[in-house]
Amino acid sequence: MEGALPGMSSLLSGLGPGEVRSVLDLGPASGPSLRVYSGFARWVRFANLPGRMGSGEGRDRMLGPLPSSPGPPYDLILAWNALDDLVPELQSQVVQRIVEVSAPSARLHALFDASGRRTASPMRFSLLDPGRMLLEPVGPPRPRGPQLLPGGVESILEPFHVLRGFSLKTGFREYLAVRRSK
Amino acid sequence: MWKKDEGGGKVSATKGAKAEPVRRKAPASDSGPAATIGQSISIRGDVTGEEDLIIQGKVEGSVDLQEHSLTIGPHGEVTADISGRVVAVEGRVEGDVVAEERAVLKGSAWVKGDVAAPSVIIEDGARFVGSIDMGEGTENGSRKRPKSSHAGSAGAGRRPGTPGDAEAQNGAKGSDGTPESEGKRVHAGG
Repeated sequence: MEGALPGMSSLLSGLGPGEVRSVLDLGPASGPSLRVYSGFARWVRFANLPGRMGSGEGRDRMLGPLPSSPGPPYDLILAWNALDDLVPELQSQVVQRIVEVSAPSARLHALFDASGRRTASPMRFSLLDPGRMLLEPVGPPRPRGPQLLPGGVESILEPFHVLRGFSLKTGFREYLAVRRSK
Repeated sequence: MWKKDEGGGKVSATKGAKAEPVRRKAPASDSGPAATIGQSISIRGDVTGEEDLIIQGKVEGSVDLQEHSLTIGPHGEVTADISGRVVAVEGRVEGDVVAEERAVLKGSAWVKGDVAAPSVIIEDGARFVGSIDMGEGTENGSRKRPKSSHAGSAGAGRRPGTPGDAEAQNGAKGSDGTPESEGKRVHAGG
């Protein structure tokens, strides 16, 4: 299934030259996404957070450090819906791990399920172009936690400050945030 | 087995044995089929050459083909840093991949290591854990080449301290212990 990403489109179209050089994608490696990133970034890392967290009982274990950038600290982090799928303690922990490897003014893009569904399949995302994504289910549906409202998302993403949110036809809500110095 | 061995360089292909650096020089006019390390061959040491090479066997150490193409075939298993002008991976590589022109991770590829090339292609089904550097080269104009395994312990493989190692220590694998990836056939970078 394909879906629009208006927030991502506005984020990427507004980038100045050299503004984003290093990208951290929390999903598994994706050729289409890499093609988009190559338009503005030199360094790309796919962290495959869902793969690292595993599934079932093991998925709630503590998360180690995220891989650091092979170049400068990450300017852009694409979390997809990796945070949405975690228990609250792990959500905050992942954000802190992101902070450890990101630039002081890094941008964060994240998706949260706003469909109200009680079950959902884990999804794999690819960026087909700056404003369009490909969503592919990669497993059977499983129970979902309570839906997060925008205020809750803002709290989870701290110290990233939510700039904009977009409701998508795919049932997700798209958030753009920027890291702010304390 | 080694094929097309007209280069006259020293070739060591003893199964499981430590090999001296392998250097084969092809005639300047050579444009024939690539040399092949066959499926039953294991090499431990440094492989260098001045012609295209296909690896279907096992190599542990380093592979540096300079301005020539290197293909890790579907049966190839390489635990080494590898480099060439164009590097295509269909098999298994644990080590850094450096290509002067283009690196291609085919759909059957399993790669754990960092990839550096102006153009990087990840095909649908490829499994990859590591970072990608799509710069045009290093500051002095050429990319970092594999370290000779003879500079340190034999069978260099991954160097300690690279991002890939940190990821590996953190369990950055799929649940089946392999790099996870996907992606359509695309062309990224230069």
